[in-house]
Amino acid sequence: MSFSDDLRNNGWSKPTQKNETLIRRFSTTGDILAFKRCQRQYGVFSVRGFSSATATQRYFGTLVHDVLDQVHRQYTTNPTLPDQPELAALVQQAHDRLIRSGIRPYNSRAQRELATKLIGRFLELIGPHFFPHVQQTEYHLQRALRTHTNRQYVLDGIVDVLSGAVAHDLELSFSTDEDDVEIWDYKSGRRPDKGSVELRDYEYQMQVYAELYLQQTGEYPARAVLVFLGELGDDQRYKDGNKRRGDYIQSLLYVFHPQRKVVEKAMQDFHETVELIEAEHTKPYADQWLPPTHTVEPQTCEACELRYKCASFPAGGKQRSEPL
Amino acid sequence: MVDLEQFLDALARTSPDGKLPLNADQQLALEHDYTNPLWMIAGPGTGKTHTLAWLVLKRVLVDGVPANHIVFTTFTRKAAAELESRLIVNRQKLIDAGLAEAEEVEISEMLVGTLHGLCSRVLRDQRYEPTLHIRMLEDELTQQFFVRRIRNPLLNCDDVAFWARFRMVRANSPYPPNLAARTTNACKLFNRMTENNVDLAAMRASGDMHLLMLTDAYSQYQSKLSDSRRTDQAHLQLHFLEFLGTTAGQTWLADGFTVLVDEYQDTNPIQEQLYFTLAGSRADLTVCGDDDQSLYRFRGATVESLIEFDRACQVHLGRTPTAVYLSENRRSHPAIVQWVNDFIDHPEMRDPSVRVRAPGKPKLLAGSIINGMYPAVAGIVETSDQVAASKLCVLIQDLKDDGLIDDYSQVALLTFSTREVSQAIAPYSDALRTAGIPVHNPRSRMAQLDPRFLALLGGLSCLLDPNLDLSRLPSPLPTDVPQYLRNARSAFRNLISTGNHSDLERYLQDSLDAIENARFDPSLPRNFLLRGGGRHVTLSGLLYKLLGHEPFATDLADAAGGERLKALNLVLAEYESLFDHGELRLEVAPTGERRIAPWTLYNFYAVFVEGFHDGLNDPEDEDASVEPGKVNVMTIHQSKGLEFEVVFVLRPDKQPFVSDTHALEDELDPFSRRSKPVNRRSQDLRAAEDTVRLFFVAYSRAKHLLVLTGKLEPGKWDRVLPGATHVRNANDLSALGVHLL
Repeated sequence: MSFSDDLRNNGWSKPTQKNETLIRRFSTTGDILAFKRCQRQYGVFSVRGFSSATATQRYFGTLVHDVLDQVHRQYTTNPTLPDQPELAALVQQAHDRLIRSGIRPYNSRAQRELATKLIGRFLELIGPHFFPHVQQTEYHLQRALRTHTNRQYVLDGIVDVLSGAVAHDLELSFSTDEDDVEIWDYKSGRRPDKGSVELRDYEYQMQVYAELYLQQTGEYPARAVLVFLGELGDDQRYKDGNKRRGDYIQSLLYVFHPQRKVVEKAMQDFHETVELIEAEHTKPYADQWLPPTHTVEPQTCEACELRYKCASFPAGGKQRSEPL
Repeated sequence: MVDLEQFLDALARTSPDGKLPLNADQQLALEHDYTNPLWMIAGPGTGKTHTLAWLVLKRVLVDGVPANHIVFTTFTRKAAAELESRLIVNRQKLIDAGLAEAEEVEISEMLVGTLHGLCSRVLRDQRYEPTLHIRMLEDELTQQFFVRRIRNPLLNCDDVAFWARFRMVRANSPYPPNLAARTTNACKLFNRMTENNVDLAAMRASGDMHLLMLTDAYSQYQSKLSDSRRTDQAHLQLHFLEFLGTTAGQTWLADGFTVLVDEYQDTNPIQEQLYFTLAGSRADLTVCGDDDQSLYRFRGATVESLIEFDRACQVHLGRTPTAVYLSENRRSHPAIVQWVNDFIDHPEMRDPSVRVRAPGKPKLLAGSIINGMYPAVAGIVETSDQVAASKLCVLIQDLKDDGLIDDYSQVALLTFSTREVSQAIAPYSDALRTAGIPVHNPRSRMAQLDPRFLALLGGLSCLLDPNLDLSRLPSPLPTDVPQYLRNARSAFRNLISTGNHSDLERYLQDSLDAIENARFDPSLPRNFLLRGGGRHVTLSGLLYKLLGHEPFATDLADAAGGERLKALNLVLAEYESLFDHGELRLEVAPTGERRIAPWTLYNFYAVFVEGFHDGLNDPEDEDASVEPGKVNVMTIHQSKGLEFEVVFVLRPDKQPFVSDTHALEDELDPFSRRSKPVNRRSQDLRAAEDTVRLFFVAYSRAKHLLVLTGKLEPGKWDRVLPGATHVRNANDLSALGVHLL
């Protein structure tokens, strides 16, 4: 009789499988939109953890965010806005930190100059109406939620600015109230075309934040505002000395009012994407995170280290054969 | 808020049988009133995480602590994720049980995570300037790259007496450690200094030449960390402690947090200081752990944190903690519980002058539903490891074939070193693979020998250095590196020579031509290899280009291959971040063509390749502790917090040894800013304790069956057996209650 028989005949109880639920965290930009853009890129870099050089591409956006955050923090202790030399010094400090942390920008001097120009113009045009209303920057929103299949997950988000009624102060052309709460998000680039994937993604992100804000406070923010600082770059009117705020608002700010149905639709999509990601996790390694069957934006592929052999990017074959 | 009775009623309703899902000891912990700190000493399998998870919810719902005032830490990211998941599930259970107030509890507002994660999060949220955009030296290898990069003075230290003092070389050694060993040792010294939060001024004032040399080297390390906005894990905690001392930190801290710490037995002095600081004047501190499972002395942990918690509470808070002991083990068969109880009552663990174990600790009580009449503690005791391995394979196969286990992953092989070499566990891993039993051994330190890994590295080397001309390097390479490189290049050349990868061959040749003819401007101080458009070529860029070619592209889609290639990718990324961002400096050869500059090549070989050529672990899955479908081979350290139906403890012949860990404890203790124990045992005795604790952890992982497995030599197993019994042969082992197979 084998030892195994001995065990079975003497009361070995069948092991029970432990069913621990792992509840993951998901963020709009880091997970959901990244997955929707390209599930292969998301899976390889964000889930499997391969190292990507794309961090260097975030230099400009990070620089702009850091400086605006610093301006806000200084404003809370001393409610004045920096002049041009002070702003240049803040940009330089933020740049130094990024460089020392290992971020390697391309032509950083030009990028620093551009950041100083964009932020300087923003402060001049909007600053006095904006900073007095800022309640919090980098406002964390997070909630434990359930998908339509009852799967639990934690939704993470960081809103650039939670503010009072800036729109009211700016006397924008729609109905506002001085008690309004708004969520603002800075974008360092130009405003994307209407109907573009980029703009749709930005809106989606803000709809999700609106839902998180609702979960946290019981009501939607009065409006969501996207600021496209890149619009202030080479505006001829500004160069010509036109500092009338109203002339720039249209392109600089993209404002919308969170509507229940639209937000719910965004959240439904969010939940469905969480389910898709979770489903990928359960697949065998070789079948996980395959190139998507939908079209991927060319700029997504061009920035991806996997492009040299990827079904979503046929041009990668030619790039692969090029030296170096 | 609800009262305790309502909470307990709801808690009972979460169980199918309507009874509280807590035993009497656990309930005692839950009902603790928090006028004093709570000192929860919980043996293996006694449900400490289960208790803590309910305790946190009770603190919010009954005691009215706001969720965002709770700090709850544990030891690993994996454990932290599980903890948060458990809190969310438990909250939902309470809601489903009719406790509507639980809906108001927002788990995500709690600070749940590892202490490192918590430090990062708070420092980032608070925009603490010294840590803004700070980058972590993620692991030991990266820290070693950093120490090499900054040319720390200790790398030039030839003083044998210095290294011998810290037991980093034998006292009678004619040579100091080589460069690689000095690098490793320097990191170890610096980490221990930070973890002990040493008083540098006092070390300098000692006038001791070795300590002066050490503090100078440490100060250079700290200064370079700051200059390059880097931190290691220990320094992140130091930053956090410093932040808590600032005005902003004091404002954030206010009157303190409700702090709960799991795995407190592996806390180091700076962490202890942090926890007491975080608790602040509220003094609401719960620590939970098992001193008998303290394993991380070699990383600066001190079991004294838990054992002497009552004294530390007096020093820091002026209060006496309430001790609660969880002793009902619901994990293991009663015979296994008996075995671990007998074992921990080890002669090495008794000392009338020092607390070796937590005071008042009761024996474990068997409470598992696993209680068959079979022999649950068995031994495969042979005259050779090969024979033992063969028997082990038969038993595993029988267990699977006979349906006693459903999956191979219910079996674990635990041992001190999982390296697959003959002096460690190669006889066992080889036998399992020969028997067709799948094995998962991520910490075998063998990734660097995988043919795919070697070929990819060889490809990179062939691109940079077509002839491997070591004579033009500025300094000789470390001893074994040249041969390792030749092996890697052969692996790559062998791929090419199959004739199946003409694309790869063409890419290599075209790239070599491109380097030879690269743009070079002699008027510039430094020339780098550029692509069309002026972008710098980087090592990682080349690596991804290679990965785009076959056979690497296919290897990438295979689980084992993908993870091995990722290992190279990750090490390279860390190396690049410290050495020129992976950019490739050029020079002009005497014959006029361009080639990669000698220092670029030297660093690539002598720092990057040297870092892993003699051992590299596979990356480990962040989500899963255990690989399904395979027998998991683990170090005992790795198995902490886990449990398996069947545990084979391989080669229980580990002898205690005094190491640099113990020497460093004694050397740094006079300068450590911490509450110190009244007495401390000798280094020999502390080393002996460590061995006992290590095997206590190994034995207590088993649920159904524990099998001691190995080659028995007289006296070799004694230290890891109950009572340190002298065992000469298998019969002696049988007398201890081990069923011989």
